[in-house]
Amino acid sequence: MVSIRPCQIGDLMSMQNANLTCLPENYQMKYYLYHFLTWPQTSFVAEDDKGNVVGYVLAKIDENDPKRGHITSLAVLRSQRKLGIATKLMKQAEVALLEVFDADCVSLHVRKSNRAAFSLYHEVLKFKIDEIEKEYYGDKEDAYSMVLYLKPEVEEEKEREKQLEKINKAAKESIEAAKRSNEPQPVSNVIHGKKKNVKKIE
Amino acid sequence: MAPTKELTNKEITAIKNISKLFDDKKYSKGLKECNTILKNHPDNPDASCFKSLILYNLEQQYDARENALKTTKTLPTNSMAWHTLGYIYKLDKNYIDAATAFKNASKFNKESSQILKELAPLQLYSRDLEGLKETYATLLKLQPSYKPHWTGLVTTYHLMGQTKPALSVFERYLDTLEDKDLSGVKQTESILYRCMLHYELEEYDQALELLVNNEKKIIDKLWAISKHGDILLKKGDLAAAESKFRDLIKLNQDDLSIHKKLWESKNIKSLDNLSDEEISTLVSLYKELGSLYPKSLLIQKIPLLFLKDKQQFREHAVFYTKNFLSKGIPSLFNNLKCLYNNKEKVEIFSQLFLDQLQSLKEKQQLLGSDEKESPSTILWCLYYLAQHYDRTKDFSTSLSFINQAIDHTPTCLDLYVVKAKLYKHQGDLQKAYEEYDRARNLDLADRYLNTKCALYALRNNDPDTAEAIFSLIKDETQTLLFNIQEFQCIWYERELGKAYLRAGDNARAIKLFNLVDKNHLEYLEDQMDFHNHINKKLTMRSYIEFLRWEDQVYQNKPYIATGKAHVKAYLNHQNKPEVMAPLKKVPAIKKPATKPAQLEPKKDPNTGLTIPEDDDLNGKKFLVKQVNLMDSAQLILDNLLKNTNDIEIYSLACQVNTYQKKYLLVLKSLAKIKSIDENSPCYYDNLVNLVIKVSEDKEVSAIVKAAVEKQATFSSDVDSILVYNQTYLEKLGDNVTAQHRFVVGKIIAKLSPSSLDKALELILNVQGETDWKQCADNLQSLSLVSSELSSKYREKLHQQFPIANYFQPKVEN
Repeated sequence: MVSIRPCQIGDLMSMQNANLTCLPENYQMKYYLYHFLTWPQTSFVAEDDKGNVVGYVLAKIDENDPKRGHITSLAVLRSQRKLGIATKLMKQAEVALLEVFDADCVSLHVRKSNRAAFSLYHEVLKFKIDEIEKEYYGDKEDAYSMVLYLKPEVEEEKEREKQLEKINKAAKESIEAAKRSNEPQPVSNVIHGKKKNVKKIE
Repeated sequence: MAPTKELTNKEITAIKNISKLFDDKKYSKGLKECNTILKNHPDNPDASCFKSLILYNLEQQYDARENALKTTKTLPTNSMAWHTLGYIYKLDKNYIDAATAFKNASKFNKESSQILKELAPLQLYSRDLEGLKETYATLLKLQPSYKPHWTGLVTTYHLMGQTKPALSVFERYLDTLEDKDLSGVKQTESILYRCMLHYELEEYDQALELLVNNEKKIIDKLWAISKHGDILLKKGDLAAAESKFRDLIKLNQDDLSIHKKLWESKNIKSLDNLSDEEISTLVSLYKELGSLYPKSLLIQKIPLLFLKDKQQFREHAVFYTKNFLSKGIPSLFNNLKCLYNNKEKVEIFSQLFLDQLQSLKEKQQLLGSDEKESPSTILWCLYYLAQHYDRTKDFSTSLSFINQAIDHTPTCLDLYVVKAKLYKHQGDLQKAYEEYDRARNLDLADRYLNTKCALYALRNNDPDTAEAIFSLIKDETQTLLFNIQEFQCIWYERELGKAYLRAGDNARAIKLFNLVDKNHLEYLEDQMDFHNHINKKLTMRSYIEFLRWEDQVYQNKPYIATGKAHVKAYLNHQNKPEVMAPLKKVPAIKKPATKPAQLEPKKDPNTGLTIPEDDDLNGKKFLVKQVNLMDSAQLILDNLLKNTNDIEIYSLACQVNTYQKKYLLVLKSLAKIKSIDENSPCYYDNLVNLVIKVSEDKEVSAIVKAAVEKQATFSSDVDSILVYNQTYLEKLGDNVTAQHRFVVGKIIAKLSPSSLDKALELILNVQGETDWKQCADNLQSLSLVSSELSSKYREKLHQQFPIANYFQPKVEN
């Protein structure tokens, strides 16, 4: 029997252990503490009959954007799969991010190769791909940066902005292209991805 | 002290320059400048202090410390000298001496808030709360507008249990804040923290008032509603409490703790010994909740906990398990395991799943359903039955079901996981590992399987294989040990240590267990870093919970399991029992070919100093350095003994203290064991051991001797003990277990080699023994008494646990 509840301080060690068991991105206890002491309302755990943490979602608010929630880490032990635990944990975190921090959206990163996680986020939880962050992970794998809007009106606005940006960009590019139509130059197409530094606490 | 010469202008400039050089990390040049000044002015505090700091950063820690100490001796009233010494001690992680030095620094510079700010976290760390209170009170006078001083004083009072002053200081602090500092989440936190304080003061009306009056402002609804319900329960307003908990269930149906409170609001405190009336209350409650929230697994499950009527229970079990079987959800057994301490329910499950299997075989349908099931449903039914019979220790039936399942779908990896567990429970760790590895190979990208397989390899005394598996998934730029330490991977440290412990390599085992201790010290150090941080969001509730958690940081399962093995390693180092299981020599799998290791020198992230390479990997030097090993064991025990009811811990305490001749402490532990379980075989074992040791000890005082005899109720001569053995077993009557017989047999063998037959009879009577791990421990302890006995015991255990690795006949090679 699995119980889903808000994360408490006594869960952190067990969360760290679940994380080490399931995921390649690991963190020191201090990083869990940092979450708990900054956004105590947004993380949740799934607990089995013996009180072991069998799943968790560690969530926060983006340091640079107070309107943006972010999922730092989500894991459910393989032995407890197909129970919808990840979905339940995510739903709780989404509600908390919206209600407590008035977040417009929630974002997360997922490895390009992790099809199972991707389909959970994409099919079940309705996240959309925001961009691809090249070599985001320590082993140089690319990440999908995904986002879910918690407020429909903000999503519409963002869509409009994106559209506008696209048009502006196209206009600018065609003007530039027209200018240097005689001597074409190579176009740099590097997307700057933020590298993750798990040990540092800002 | 020589009269201080005046500094020339040039020298004053030079000192300013040193400060700049230090900031720019130009240490060698800075050191030269210091020495030049010290030549003319040996007592110059600036030059001397900078010299200490520079030496430290040049990784000459010893000289730095000596110089700083010397400076405090030549300039005993100089604040800077003490401040520097404190700073160096802090870098050394010698927090106690650092605090003393900072206190002296503050004494000679009372106006410095900087020194006190550095002192405060150290006082918090060492829980010098009286001192901390004084520090924050002074800081608040010096800098009343600095917010962390206010919250520091509040949390100090709160930790001291002086909740009233904590509340009043906090309310005053809130008055000083402007509106913009108290908006959004901060406002909520300020209200809820006050609510927490009132609640702890049992001022329920005030706590309630805060919640009700500020309902609109509070945005952390989950906590607020839950607290609201708790308060109503305390006040006995059950109907109102019920409505709060129902509100919470609306938000999250799957939180068991909320359900428990809902029962409480129906005046049901626990599900044990329910009356018929209570059961019918629960039946109608969960019928209602079930129709409101048909998707909640928890709501579907709870009736299995309270239903007593066999027919009803079975019907509900059919309903509950249907989806698990049809959809192939593998955790069904884990889900129902908690019901297996009830014999009747176990019997029902046994029949139910056999009936399901029958029905699936005959009609491809589940009981009470006319839908045709897919062929995999039968697989999950077999999978369940295998786990069921494993749990009820009918291993051969379990094996037959799991093999049928594997024949059905050989590619389903969960089956091999269950098979691995089945072997593990019977003590065949080799086969357990092999089956787990089979599962792992069916999905090599799954980190969970890799991790668990490494665990199975370690339990199989095969660290090389474990490391090979781990090297597939670890950060390849570092060594394995560095990686597991860095990320505080406690289970690996513990299990690797235990493998060494079983192999008799106690030094290496202790070394690994020390890593777990180090991790916990890191957890403790973490509390020095968040003081200023909490003002960002005013998360006072979390901060207090965090600090309280730190107070019991050793009371967690992973630490306790490690600590016990840690103490055992010290005892084994002393007693040298027979090796339980040597390490496997040839790894079961090969390590992946790795690039030549180019390991970067490791740096401490906080200080930037190089962490020296470990030149004592097997721990031999380390063990030699320790003056009294049992004192080290005692330190671990001190952590373990806090707030525990674990007989094994008290038994270890008995052994260590008997060795240390602290007989009164042994008596204390014995009394504790007796209070937990008066029939515990550990009690008698340790008691007789104590009696014997005390009788052999010529220096023991008459008082101690009398106390021991009073506890024992028999005298210490061999005959009395032997006679008492008989009385002991008779007194136990029907409660005698194989473990009791073993303990008594061991005592007889130890005291009276001529009665070996009697000892043998008792020890070899292993009837009813099901715990092979206990027996492996027994075998090891028996090896210290008689090798003849232990080899006969081994043979017997081999019959009792035919496939357990540890009792296989020894192969001579």
